Amino acid sequence: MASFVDVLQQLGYSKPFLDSPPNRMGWSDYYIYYLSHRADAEVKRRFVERVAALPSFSK
Amino acid sequence: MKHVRMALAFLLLLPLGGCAPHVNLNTPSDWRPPNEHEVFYTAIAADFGEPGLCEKIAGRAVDESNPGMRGWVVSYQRSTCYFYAALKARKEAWCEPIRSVIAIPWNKSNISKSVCRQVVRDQGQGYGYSPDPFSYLDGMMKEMGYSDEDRYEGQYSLNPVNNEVYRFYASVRETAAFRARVHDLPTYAEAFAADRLRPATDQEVLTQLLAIDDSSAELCQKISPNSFAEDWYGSDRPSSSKIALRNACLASVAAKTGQAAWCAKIIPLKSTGIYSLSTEECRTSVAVQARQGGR
Repeated sequence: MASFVDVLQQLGYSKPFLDSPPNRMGWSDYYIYYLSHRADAEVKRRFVERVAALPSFSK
Repeated sequence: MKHVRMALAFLLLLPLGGCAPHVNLNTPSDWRPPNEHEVFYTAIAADFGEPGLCEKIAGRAVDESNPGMRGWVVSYQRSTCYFYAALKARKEAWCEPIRSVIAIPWNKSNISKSVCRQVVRDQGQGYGYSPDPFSYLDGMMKEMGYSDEDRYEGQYSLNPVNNEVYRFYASVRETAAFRARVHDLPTYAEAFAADRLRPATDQEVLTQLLAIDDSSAELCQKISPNSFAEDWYGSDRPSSSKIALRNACLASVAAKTGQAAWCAKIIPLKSTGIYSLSTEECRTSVAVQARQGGR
């Protein structure tokens, strides 16, 4: 399923956001409320994959 | 032998010191503190129960904390990672790779194979702490390529009304260009089939938004009767967390316009687990709205 943002972009709006700094959600809230809880399994899986792609350390 | 000599020297010097140092007996000579990535991997492995991330941490990364009179807490970062991943997933097998640091004086760290097994068997009871990723989260999200778009999507998912995407929608919905584009979206109209219920597409969600704002029952009818939306605030109402999008659209337009005829278009969804007003409830709603609005 395409995301809502994608739909608006398909309609020709490349940046369909109206930022409002006082209400802006930071990455901490994104992680706590969305990624850790609300997001579906696919979004969580992609996040873990992206973490796995970060550098590994042997030294 | 070198470690033993160091330990003996340490014990002899101990009474002379005020703030006691310590000696790790089984850490590599080139040990180092964990870096930002390794601390981050530990937190993510813990939160998501992903022990595979622990192997990204160097074996010589050793975390030392709380130095001073109260004693030392020393652990291999990779073992800390396995420890909390095992607790999260309640998987005793993941305790196996854990190695403890032997220190003089006593190492007060709980990171050990035996404690891990015991806590997993106890279902994590009495163990509330878990590492968190927040110290390095902003930088890591950027490094992983997460963008403002992802953040906005998350915010939209949490609250479809109070977020940057909805504010954008509200700013363009009155424009002729936007309305024309939404009206040109494909139709999802089809016959109702109880075995074909599915989550609404975002095109349907957008169509419904404009349909209600414009009081357009015609737009509502471009939404499939088989699509449902998750209730935005449904986490505490699991029994009614799915809402029939097309029916909700028609009921809203009927109530807004006072035209009860649209209620007849509502498709009964009894026994499907999808919440919807019935035609009768829709008509009642229209009548109530009419009385309140003096229609």
